[in-house]
Amino acid sequence: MEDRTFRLLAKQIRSLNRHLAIEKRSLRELLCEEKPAIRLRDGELHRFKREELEKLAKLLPEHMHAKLRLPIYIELSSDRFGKGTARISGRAACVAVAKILEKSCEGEELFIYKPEIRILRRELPTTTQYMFTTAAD
Amino acid sequence: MADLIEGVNPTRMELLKLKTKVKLAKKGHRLLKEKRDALIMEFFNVLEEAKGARRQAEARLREAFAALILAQASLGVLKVTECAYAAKETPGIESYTRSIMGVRVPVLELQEASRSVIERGYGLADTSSQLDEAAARFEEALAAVVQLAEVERSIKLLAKEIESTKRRVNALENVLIPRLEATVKYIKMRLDEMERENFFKLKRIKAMIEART
Repeated sequence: MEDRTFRLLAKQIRSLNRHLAIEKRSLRELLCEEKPAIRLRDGELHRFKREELEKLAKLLPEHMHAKLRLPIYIELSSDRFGKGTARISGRAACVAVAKILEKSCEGEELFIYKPEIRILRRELPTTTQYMFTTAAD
Repeated sequence: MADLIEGVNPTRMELLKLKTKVKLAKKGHRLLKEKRDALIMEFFNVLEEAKGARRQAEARLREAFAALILAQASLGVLKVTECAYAAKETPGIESYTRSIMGVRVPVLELQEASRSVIERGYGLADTSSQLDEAAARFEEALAAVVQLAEVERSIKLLAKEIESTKRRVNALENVLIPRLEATVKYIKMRLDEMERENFFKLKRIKAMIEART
């Protein structure tokens, strides 16, 4: 009985990040498509809203369109960053997120907090995804 | 004190196995808690959207039905029904899904929600501007209803996922982890006791051997 519970729990942990993309795609590439989408690890197709892609294209200078790989991951890890804190990685992603949140960003990573995560998700519901990690990862 | 896991042998091997399990359970608990919090945040975002969408859909439908009554008053119910039959197909809806932490929520996009008078398909000679107005209002209402359908379905799906995640978190927090920790504590106590017993036994044997010689 206990072993079954643990098998289920291990499966649950493994499936926590199955909604992430198999391979990220660049904004430039996606803008050229009629139905921009990516394949997820669980085999499903995830469509991006065109308006969101256009919003991101307006926010970023053109040379960054090829550098911004979508979806942008909102990395949550309470044991590494603390509860309610998330990390955005990648220069282009940080610039886009910082512009949406009206924050300053210099490096390759940006830390955002719960109210900002809410705003970000409201502004970019299809082009951002949550990612769950732990210290061991 | 929490219940112990049944049928556990108080051995070092079992203790090691249980410690790994405690680690896994705590990791799972932490991750699921984060997922639950993120889902709740998403739920409130969608809920906010739903409030506006419902208000908008109701207002649009009210306006549309008021315009329909005016059209029926000027042309007659029969003529309006006739025009409705003559109208071309209703605009198509493109539906696909997006994933919110594994929850597949629908995205509905109405294609060409508002059409021109000619595109609608009914004759212009024997109809009035009230009918055009009613048709335009219904097209607007359709867009609002489609948006409402998308948000309300998302709310239901998210609520279901929150419920199951919450149940898992609670089971880990209140049942599994306390039970594992209690069992680990029990095994440690038993092992310590066995060690003390062995130590005492050895001392007794040593004393007996010394007494014989």
